[in-house]
Amino acid sequence: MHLNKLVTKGFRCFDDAFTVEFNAGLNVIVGENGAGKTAIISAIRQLFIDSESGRYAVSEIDFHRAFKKESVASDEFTIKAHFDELDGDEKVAFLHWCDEKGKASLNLQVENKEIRGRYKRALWGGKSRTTAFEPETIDLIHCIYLPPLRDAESKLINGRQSRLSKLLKALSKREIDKLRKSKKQHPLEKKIIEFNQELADSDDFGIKEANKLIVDSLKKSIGESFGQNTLIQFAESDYTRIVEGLRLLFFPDLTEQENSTFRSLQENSLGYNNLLYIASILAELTIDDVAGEIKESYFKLLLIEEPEAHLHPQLQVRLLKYISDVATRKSVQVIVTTHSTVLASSVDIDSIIHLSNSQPPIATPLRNCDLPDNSKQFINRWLDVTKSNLLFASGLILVEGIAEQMLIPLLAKSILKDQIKGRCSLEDVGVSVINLNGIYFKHFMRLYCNLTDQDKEEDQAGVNIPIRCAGLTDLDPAKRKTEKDAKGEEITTTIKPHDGDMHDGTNHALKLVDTISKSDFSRLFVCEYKTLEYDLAMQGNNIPVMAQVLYDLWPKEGKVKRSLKPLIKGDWTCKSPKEKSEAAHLILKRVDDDEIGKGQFAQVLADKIACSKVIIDVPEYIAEAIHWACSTVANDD
Amino acid sequence: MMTNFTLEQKDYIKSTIDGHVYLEACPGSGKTEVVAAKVAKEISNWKKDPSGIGVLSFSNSATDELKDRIGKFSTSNLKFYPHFIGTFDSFIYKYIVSPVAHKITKYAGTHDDYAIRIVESTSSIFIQTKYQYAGRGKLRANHYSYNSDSDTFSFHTGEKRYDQSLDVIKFKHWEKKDLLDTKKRFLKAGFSTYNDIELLAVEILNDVDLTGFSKNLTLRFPVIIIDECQDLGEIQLSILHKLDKFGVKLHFIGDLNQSIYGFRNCEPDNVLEFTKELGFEFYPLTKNHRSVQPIVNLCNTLVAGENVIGRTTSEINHCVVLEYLECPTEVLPTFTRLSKPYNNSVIIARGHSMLNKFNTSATKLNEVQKLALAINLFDIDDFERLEKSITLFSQYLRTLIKESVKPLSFNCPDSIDSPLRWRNFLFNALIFLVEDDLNDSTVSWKVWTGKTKLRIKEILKQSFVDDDIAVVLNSLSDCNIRSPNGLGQEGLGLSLKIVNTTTCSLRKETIHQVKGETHDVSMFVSSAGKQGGVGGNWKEWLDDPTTESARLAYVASSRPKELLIWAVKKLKPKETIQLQDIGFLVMPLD
Repeated sequence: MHLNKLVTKGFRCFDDAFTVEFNAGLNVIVGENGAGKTAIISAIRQLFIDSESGRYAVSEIDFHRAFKKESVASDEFTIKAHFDELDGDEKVAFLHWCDEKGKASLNLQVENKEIRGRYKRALWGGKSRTTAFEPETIDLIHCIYLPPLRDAESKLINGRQSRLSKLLKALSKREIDKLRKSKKQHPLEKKIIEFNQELADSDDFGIKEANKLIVDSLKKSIGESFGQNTLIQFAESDYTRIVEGLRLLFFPDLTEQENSTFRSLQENSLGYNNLLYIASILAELTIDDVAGEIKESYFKLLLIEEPEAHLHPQLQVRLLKYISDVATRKSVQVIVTTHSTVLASSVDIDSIIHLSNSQPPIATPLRNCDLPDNSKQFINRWLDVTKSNLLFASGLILVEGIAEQMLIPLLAKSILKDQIKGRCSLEDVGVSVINLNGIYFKHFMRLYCNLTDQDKEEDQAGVNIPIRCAGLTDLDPAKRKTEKDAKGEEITTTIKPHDGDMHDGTNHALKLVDTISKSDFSRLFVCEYKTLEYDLAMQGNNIPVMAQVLYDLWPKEGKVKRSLKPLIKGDWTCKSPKEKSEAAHLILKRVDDDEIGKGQFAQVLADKIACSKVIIDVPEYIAEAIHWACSTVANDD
Repeated sequence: MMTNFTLEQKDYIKSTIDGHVYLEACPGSGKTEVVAAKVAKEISNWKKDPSGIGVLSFSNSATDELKDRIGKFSTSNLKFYPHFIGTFDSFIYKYIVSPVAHKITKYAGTHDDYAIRIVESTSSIFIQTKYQYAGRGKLRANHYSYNSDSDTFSFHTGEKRYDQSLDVIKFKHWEKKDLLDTKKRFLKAGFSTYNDIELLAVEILNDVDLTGFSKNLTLRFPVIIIDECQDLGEIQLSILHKLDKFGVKLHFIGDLNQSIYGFRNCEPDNVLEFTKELGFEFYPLTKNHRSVQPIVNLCNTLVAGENVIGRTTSEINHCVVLEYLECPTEVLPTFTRLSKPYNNSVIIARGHSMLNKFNTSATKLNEVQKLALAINLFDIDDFERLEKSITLFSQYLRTLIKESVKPLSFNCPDSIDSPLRWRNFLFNALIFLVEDDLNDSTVSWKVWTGKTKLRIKEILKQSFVDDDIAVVLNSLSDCNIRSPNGLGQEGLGLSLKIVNTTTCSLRKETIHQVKGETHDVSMFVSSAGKQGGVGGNWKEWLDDPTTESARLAYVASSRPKELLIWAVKKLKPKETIQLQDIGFLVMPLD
């Protein structure tokens, strides 16, 4: 049994019906701030009573209220949870959550009418409100919630709600129940009582004397008739109270140590205390049910907000791997929210649920994107910490290489300069430029659109992440062409494309352009002539700027520098396309040269643009890509 | 905990729950206590969670009583889950019909909710047949039900004669189709009557596609205990029959001699046959701990029952007949004297019309009379009169409401979310009417209606009326109030014969209301003649021990511990002897 779908309406940031689907094991919800990750967790917590943070009472902020003038809070909110894969036993236990097809659901409706601090709640199972509802069935679901700002230390130290006492009580529950029925003492209780007796009786510890002093002075001050007796001893002698008094200590590594060298948790690091806390919860979740005994819970649900809190990257990955392991081995369903690209890049993409910060918010489980296996495997392998940024952006520009990655954000500044204040750069609008290090659009863009009509492939029919995604790719026409001249001899010439002499590209991504254009959120933009640098050079009066950069970068005096010199001078806007293409070809050749390289050239050019030392005209296909990703339109003025 | 039980009682408590068992319990046998002990024992030994025992009875009060007593048997804080203790109706509705009925009815739900709306036969529902029947026009979908098992219709129009005339019709093929189609439309629209609910339960348990559901249901409740099994109707028995097929074990507890729900098709013979067919093991309880031996003997005579041992007694008379000449209220002074030494005395009658004589002698009230009586009885300091007043007022308002109402919550309209608010409204509206001296019963109907007409239109303008109530009752502002036919000039009090009920603040109940109760003194009032409802006259009570009339008399007469009184119309000498023969002392009035 697991929670497979949650539908909320009128709750927090969800105005109309909002649906999110979950996996049986691990689920990692990613998305921008304010997208509604916490609202999803809160909705689940409204349904169940979680054992870690207690019942979460409804408050006025739970009712949706649009960010508009004169908006009013919703009259009610509803939360409906669907459960799947109930086995026979579970179907009997949750019979009245089931419909005629054996699908279970739990419904909550809360009216926005406050009566002495309480809101009117209606909870029912299945399709019909009038079906018998047994509140005890809620307790058959063991839900644990860990908030993002955890005070691990206070949860771990001794006290009634301490993790340690909960774990010990859970471990020895059966034994305690048995002893209680037969009215016998737990061995631990016996030990403590004996010890207390020894303390009270012995003259060696000064305790007997201290107690006598207190009783005597009490008697003297208030007299015999009002006098009270006192006793000095260790805590209570009841099992529960004894374990609540126990403390967890730590030692920084796993070598066997004397007990005395262990330290109190106040001296431990925040991160490790958090790990200890989560470890103690996982320990409790992994206590197995004993066959033949009445089940305490049928289904365990662990909700963790930002497990990355206080942990360095390696620990984040290790922790998530362990949680994921527990989820599969012990059939615990885990729902995690995160902002950590480290976590996002370390889990299988099938576990990831993307939440868009749109109106309305949309949840996209990546496993529903209908990615073919090879794309899934490719992304799982290739999605690293920097690339997983794509899960947290509000718009994307996917590029092939380092040059685009460095230049696009700067070019975007000039494209977006006329937009309203606060939306004049990619950072402003939350658009990320992701370098795929090659032509891998085929795998990545499938998350944002369905690829169809591809040779030897089934048409993709999945859901898409509702985020604007622009791909930028080179045309890459053939380098040379071979033609027969008038005499019939074959002559090979270098292709230098320009208006009037255009050539088809050889880039295999080009055949994706059409299918991608049919999608709502994605476009693939192809450069006009050849490659980024070539097309930059062909644009406006960019040749002198680029030539100057090359001139400055070229390490040796001589022929190359001399050949660049003429390009630096003059106004190239009035030169013929053919002349420009010669210059562009030369520039590209030098950029590609081992002496410089695309990366270094782009970095120096980018630095110059950033310092406003030079101005670069932006080729049309780049401008279009930026506008697409930012959902802006070109300003004609 | 078994120490105070008799051997018979212990035997049952020890009986198996892995087989069908029938506990045959005579009146006063401590049946409820035994059942409570049995349930408490099974619950505390229960090891089959999430399965549980269903303990079903036929009224909320019986359920509460049982829960209460089970609680007293168990040591620690008792949790009923995973067991269900409730009424048969709610079990059928909430556990069987509600979750899956839409599969059968094809109801598409509203706002993703498939809950069925239950309508009474009194609701004015718009879904009706295409053709006319019994010369009474089109038939409403909530006035009949169809049993697919027996392929028969039964009618519940709320009017006996209408029902009877429909019962005898041999429907032609197209007429039957019309009735079935109309019922289908009714169910598809998400409505259902109480009868439909039971029939739907049978269909659900019969449905091949829902076998999985039925199977899980019976795994969830592998044992079902039914208290007052003599009240099981035909359809309820067929539901239990299906559950048996799925492996449910049944425990029946009851007394077939107390079967008094003939109008709901409850025949004690059917129950007996059922237990025999399914091979129930019988456990008898034959000792009456309630009544003294003379009362027990008399009761046995009524139903020709086997010997039951009652409480031993001293010499005074325990069975008394009082005679009245015209009106049963004549016996009240003597009754009051006789019951003086005891705490708990109750007047019992077959029907409300007889009981109403102890409030007012106007037997059948029309709507305006109900309104007048409601205002007249209104008295904040007398709980009985207050409740009666609010009930009557709600009955009057029901005729103006165009949606279904909850009859058990003072006819609260379904669209009013809180019965409490509705009650408050009724109360405040009555205060408002009384403030205008409309409770003055000395005026003529003509004067009263004229005055009331004006006042009642003002109600909706008052601040105590919530908006939603005002919407439901909007026809109140143009309702007409007319004097009862031919009574315009007559005084209000005269025709209502409003008696000062404070002198008679005794409990007055129908037989059905006192089922299972224990009184010190019970006076069972016979109607003057055999006219009116069946079983109202003492001669019917003695006619034939196998009829329901005999069983009705049996139930009423087995209530008292110490003193049983029958109030009958002046006897002929022969009749006096007849009553003396069965153990009564015919006493003159004071």
